[in-house]
Amino acid sequence: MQRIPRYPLAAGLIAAIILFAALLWPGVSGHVERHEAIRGQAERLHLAESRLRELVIGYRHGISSNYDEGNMWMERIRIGLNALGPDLRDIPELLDYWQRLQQGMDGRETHWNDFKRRNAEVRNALHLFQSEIGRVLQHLHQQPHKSGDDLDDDLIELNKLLVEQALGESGLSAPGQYRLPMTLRRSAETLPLAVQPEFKRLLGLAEVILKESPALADDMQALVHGHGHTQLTALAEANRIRLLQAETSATRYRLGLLLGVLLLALVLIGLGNRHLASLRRLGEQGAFFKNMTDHLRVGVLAVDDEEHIRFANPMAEQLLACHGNGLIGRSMHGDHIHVEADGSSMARERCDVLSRLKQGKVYAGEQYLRRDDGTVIPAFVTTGPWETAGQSGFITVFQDISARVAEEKDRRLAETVFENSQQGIVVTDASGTILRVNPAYCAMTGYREEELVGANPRLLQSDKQDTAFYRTMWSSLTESGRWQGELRNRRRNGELYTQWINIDAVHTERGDLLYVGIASDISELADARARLSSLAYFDPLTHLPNRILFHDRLSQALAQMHRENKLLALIYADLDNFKSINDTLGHAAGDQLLIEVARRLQQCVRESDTVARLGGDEFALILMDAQGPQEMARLASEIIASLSLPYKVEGYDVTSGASLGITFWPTDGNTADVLLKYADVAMYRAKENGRNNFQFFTSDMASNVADSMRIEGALRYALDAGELSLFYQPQVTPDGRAVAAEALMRWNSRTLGWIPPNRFIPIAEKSGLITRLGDFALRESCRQCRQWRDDFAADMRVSVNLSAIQFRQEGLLEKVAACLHEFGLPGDALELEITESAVMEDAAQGQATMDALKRLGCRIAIDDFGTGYSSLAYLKRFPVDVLKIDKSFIDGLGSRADDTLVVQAILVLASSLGLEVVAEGVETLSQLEILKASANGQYFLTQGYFFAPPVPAEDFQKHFPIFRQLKLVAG
Amino acid sequence: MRLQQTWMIAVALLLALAVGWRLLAEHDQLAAETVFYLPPATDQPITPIPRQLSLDTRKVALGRKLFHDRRLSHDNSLACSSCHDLRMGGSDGRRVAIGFQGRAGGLNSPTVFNSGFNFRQFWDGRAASLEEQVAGPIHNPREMASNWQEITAKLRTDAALVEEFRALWPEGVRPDHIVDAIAEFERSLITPGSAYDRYLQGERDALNSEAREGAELFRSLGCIACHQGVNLGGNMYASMGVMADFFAERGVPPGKFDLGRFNVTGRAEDRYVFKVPTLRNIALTAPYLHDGSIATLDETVRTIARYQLGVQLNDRDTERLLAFLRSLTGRLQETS
Repeated sequence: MQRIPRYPLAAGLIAAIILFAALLWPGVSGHVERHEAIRGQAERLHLAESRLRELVIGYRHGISSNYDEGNMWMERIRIGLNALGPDLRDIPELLDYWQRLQQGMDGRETHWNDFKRRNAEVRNALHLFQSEIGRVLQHLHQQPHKSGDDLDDDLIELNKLLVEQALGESGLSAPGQYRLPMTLRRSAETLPLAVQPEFKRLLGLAEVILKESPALADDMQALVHGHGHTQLTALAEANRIRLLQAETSATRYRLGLLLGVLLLALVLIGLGNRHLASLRRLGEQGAFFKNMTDHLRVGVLAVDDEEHIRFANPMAEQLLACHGNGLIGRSMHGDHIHVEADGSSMARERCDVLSRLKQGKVYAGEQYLRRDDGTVIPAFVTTGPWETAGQSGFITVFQDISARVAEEKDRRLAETVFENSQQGIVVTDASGTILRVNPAYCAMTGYREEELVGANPRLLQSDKQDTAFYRTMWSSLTESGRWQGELRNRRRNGELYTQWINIDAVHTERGDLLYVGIASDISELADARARLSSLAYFDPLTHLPNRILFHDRLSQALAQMHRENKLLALIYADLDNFKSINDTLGHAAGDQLLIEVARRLQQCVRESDTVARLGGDEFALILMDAQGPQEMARLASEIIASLSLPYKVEGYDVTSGASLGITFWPTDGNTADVLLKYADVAMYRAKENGRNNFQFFTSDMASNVADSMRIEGALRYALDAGELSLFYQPQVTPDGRAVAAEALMRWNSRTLGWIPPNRFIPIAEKSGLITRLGDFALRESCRQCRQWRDDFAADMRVSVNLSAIQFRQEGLLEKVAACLHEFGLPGDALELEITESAVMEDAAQGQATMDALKRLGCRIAIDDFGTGYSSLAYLKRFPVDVLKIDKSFIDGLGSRADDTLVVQAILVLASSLGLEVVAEGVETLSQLEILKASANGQYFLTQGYFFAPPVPAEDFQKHFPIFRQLKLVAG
Repeated sequence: MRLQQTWMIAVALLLALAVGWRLLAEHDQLAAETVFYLPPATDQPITPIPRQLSLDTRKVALGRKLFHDRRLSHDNSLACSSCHDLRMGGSDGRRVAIGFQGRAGGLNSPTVFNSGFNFRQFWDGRAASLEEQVAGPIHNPREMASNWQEITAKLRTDAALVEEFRALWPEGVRPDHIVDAIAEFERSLITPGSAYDRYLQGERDALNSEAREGAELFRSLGCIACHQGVNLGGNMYASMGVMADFFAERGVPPGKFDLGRFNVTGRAEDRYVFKVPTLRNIALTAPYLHDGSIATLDETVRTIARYQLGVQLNDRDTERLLAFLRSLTGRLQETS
């Protein structure tokens, strides 16, 4: 009989239970779950952040003005941050980032609210300022005052400043603190009283813009480039490392615990085996045994030689789920308790446990047990022989190891995570020698695992970071045990890449120092970042700076030249026949041409000079430290020569050329905009002078520009002020009978006097005013035609010019139809004159429009016939009624033989196509005679000073007895 | 003895474990967010009011009762609906609110209609949500002059009401539940189907040409820079008197109530800054402005154009703008 060693057993039991409980303690995996939750929240925050940033940029540029969505994302950021707080409560490092984010939050909301307010104010003020300035200028012209034209210039300058301020790109030319020029304030007081209020209102708007723009730029800066993003990324990265650490330690912890439990189980079995028999026999000891096994967290079974269970502790019943049914008397194999892994019954012969026992040895290993509820559990089973007086058999101690099996799965999962992580993971020892890398890291670096293990990460270094950088990194690692940041490294193939890496100093259980680096390849992100900024500032086709960056560079260059007291030259270049190449060979060819032009331009200038593409086929060059006109003339010739060489595009050889305009700072203009405008003007002059050459800006061009602006300003209000009127020139049969009249626009400006149409029509076309002018002409001539028809000529017809812009304009047909309807005119009372080039710009659309006009009954005349781009094929297809022979051919009748031939040819052409002819600009009797002879009886009309000049409508009837004659005929 | 202790430890551990799980699970529930209205991602400056919202109809029903319940004021004389009369466009038609024992407040009562769409509540935006807003008037000595203790005590004597609370929350009548129900009810007070909304939704005839011209004028003048979003306002702050000094020309010198957002933030640039009010149902909520100083919409439109845009409106344009503003009157949605 043996004494029971109470204390070791009790201690063992306590230890076993604690360990087991610890095994189930969810706190371990809880860490992992928590970090995963944090990661999810951080990602949602990230999304909200980027969406808000995009929106802010959109609001600033007027892409959207609905603040609801912005508010929503701001709210989400706030809620998201608040929700994140409790999760971080005892992780001081993450909490630190969070607190900084949280502290920044109030500031961001304030910026956001200020941004909405200021953006609305500034955008509105600019809009109102620009829609008012024209009228104020006009009124200033009508009211004589002391300040004169200087005030105009000041206002126009102010307008430019305001646009710069209000729409200034943050990060580029950030708006500075500008004050309203004092001269303008003083002028306001000296102005005539009639103009003062609106002038002051204009200044008021300007003040709003100047006052709010700098703060608005600050708000935008804070919202778009604020620290929130960096802090959030840092938080997410720190969390990611924590997550990995938690996963590793959870696995390690569980493995340790499991081992402990197993060891204890073995000890208990050993003890149990020694004491089972005596406990059964001896009351006190038996009771103790039962008491002990009652509380054991392992199943204990005593089985006799016939394999019937003689004893089972409560845990065994619980583990086998046979509550109340009892195990005593059941057979281990016969009753399917010990089974195969798949739950099928096990033959005794196949039982490892029995065969081991037969050899007189103890069995320990994994077996499967079937529970009464039908499920099969894996169990660690220890079985040894048992023998007491009269009875023998074996004792089985078993332990449910489902948890451990699951644990094993977890460990494999961790390994899989390491192997399959999208992030590169690298582990080095204290000296930096690489111990392990995962496949993602190999993929990122391009090295194989065996090349990296044993090597030093220095292998990957590029020269993009200096030694100071690495020194900082190492000192951070030794001091705080961690470092994170962006590294530009080199792959095995020499390619550079950008990685975000977190390095942690980790101490192993043995006290060795390891460095764990978790790296992600953010090259794409870095590239995308670079691309984004290049999209905003570079032309994607030629990779040259775009208009925005050009303006910025120009301002910077001007500032630098100002400091260094040097000269700057600006060249404006426009390709000569780009449009026709684009039209005939297609856009792809045009694009190729532009790329080549960009390349050649860059070759012509120094690295430090800027070549920019302003749009379409327009380029600009900034040349700092220019020596003077001689040098620029040489450079311009070089550029023209270079651009005139043939290009190979889409397999064709094409040639182009360029017209260049050159301005100098500070001699030609003081500001970037003026300089550019003047270079543009000079370029146009070069174009007019026969293309493929260059032109310096001269002072006469300056006055021309000023004139044009003055004319445009006055023209804007000419219509409302009733300054525009229509004159009419009769179209007469060769025998002097007038049948129609062409309406011609005349402008008598109150401030500028009579302005000829060839001066103001191009300006109207450029500024878009032509549509309003055209509408006026259309309606007014229809009205006049009605009146004449009522008064004296029932067949009267008017002919009205349609500009190319009007011809393309939507709603033209509706307007024409409305005019005809309003004055009750039949369609053929109206003739519409269109130039060939207007039709040919888009021949298909042109034909459709003409067909529709025909359906209204209108007559269609081709104006200036013979001077443009005539295509007989189109002439045949288009529903044209009349050809108007250009005045230049009529001028030459009788003096230039070829002009006579052209006129005869047109007459023959018209006759064979069944078209009428109007000869424009007939001024002499001999011209009329030659025409009559050439026509040889064919019907035609003449228009010109020989019969009558254009006259106001009220003089039309009075001055032309011809019409009285007509009236007699008609009535 | 030792074994018993071990058991106790084990049981304690298991208990702790269960509590831990429970806490984690509860936390997950908290993280799930509830959203009542999501603004559409759109370039359109103004979006129509949705016809449906996801609301808890039982809370709405209870909130409706509480909204009209005079026991929420100290002397049982006033309910929320006293100043936010649902038959008067959700406001009271007075210059400034009249509260406890006839005391006059300092500001014009804003409409409760569509207030759920506002990004902040009150003229100075001091409440971030309707829930935060509810407590304001209840405690204001010039308004309902009461407090939660008093109100919950009164309501708890009403067995039927207590039962209704119990059906929603086992704890019964509590300040946060009162707030919850009232706020949910207020969110239900939307006015979809206005002529302009129908126009936005593609019904071209919903607006006559006068109102259409008004809408265009509203845009081109720049009114829309501040009055945009689903509520045509209520989503930003703006200065009163951008182009001219409103308070200097009003006649009454500016007082504390005129300082607007400055009272909340103390920042100099927030002086005279107010939440932009909604223009929905604006034709129903005279008098106008934060101080209720203008009686007619006609005069208000001219005033705002003058002080905010520096524009002197003529009669014709004013008429057009008024036609547009009248097209913003919707129908109060009846929630089942």
